[in-house]
Amino acid sequence: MEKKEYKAPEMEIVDFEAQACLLAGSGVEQTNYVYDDELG
Amino acid sequence: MNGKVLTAATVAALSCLVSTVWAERPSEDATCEFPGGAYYKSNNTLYLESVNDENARIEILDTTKSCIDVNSSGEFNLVVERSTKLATNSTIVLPMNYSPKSSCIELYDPYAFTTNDEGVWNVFASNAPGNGVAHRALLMITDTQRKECQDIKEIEFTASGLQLVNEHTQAQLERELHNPKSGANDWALEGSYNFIRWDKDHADLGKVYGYAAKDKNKVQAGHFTKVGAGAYIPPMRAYLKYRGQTPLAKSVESIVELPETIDVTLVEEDGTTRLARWNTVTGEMVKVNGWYDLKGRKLNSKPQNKGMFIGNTNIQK
Repeated sequence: MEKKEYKAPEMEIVDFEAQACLLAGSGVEQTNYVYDDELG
Repeated sequence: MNGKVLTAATVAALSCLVSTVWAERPSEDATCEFPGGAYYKSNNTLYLESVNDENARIEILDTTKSCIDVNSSGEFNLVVERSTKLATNSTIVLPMNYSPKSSCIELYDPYAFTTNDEGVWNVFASNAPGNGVAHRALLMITDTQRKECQDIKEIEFTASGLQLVNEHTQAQLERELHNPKSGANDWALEGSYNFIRWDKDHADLGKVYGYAAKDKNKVQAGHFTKVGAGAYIPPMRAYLKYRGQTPLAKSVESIVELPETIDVTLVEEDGTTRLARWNTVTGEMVKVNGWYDLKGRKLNSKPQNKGMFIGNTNIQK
């Protein structure tokens, strides 16, 4: 029997805060956002 | 599949190795090495590392200082190596007097932080024409409109007067910013020679602001932004911190009661000023007004002498 290869669906890392904002019913723009990366 | 994983891992490892090899350093052994840097007598250059590493720090003891002093006999070249390219706005603090070699970079010295009639917080910073002073945190403005200024990771300076950096030095790096209205020093520009990360339980979280080094969601590199959990700052940079000694102190536990917008007014040598407003929530920077002189009088047009003004997210000459 021929072996069938299955490709796992591609996953994307999404920003949790942004998703939480959208779930809360407001746009990302309207949600308080603070920077969590490198400072220059 | 394993082969693919191995290949990807190898590429990642090699990329990491390549990124940590600084092209400018001479091939021979350093004349002296110390935590966070090395000095090479062959090109009279001190290299300092301002990189993303939890253990990154600068330490300059008497032995290091004498090694460089003896070999440089006064002025020496300085290269500050950053792992991320310079954005339009950034900060710097160094344990020596220094002067940028490139015309891409201008230094500004914050001296006051107060509210205007509408209650908007405003940092005032004066042009420090070509000079940085040891242990004094400054704002660094890069003219990223020019192509040759868009990919600077190794910042070159002429330097002199190297100072010690040890466990007692950190206390000297706090720049109190006077608030003429309250009469108190409500805010401080704090430099650091150590890597700092603000984790979610960090006591200062909610009271710290800084320039973003990278584009991240709504915040663009170079924007002035409120610092959130997980943010970090490599050595030899600075951030703004609320000291909580005025009526704002009662609300320090609440992020929302600290300012969401902070103006930064850059005062040129001839007295003209530039004003831009950064929204620390959205990261958006908007040009608030045009050109003003020191007395607050609006000028009809851009001054004819050399200077810069800030447009929407860009600095233009």
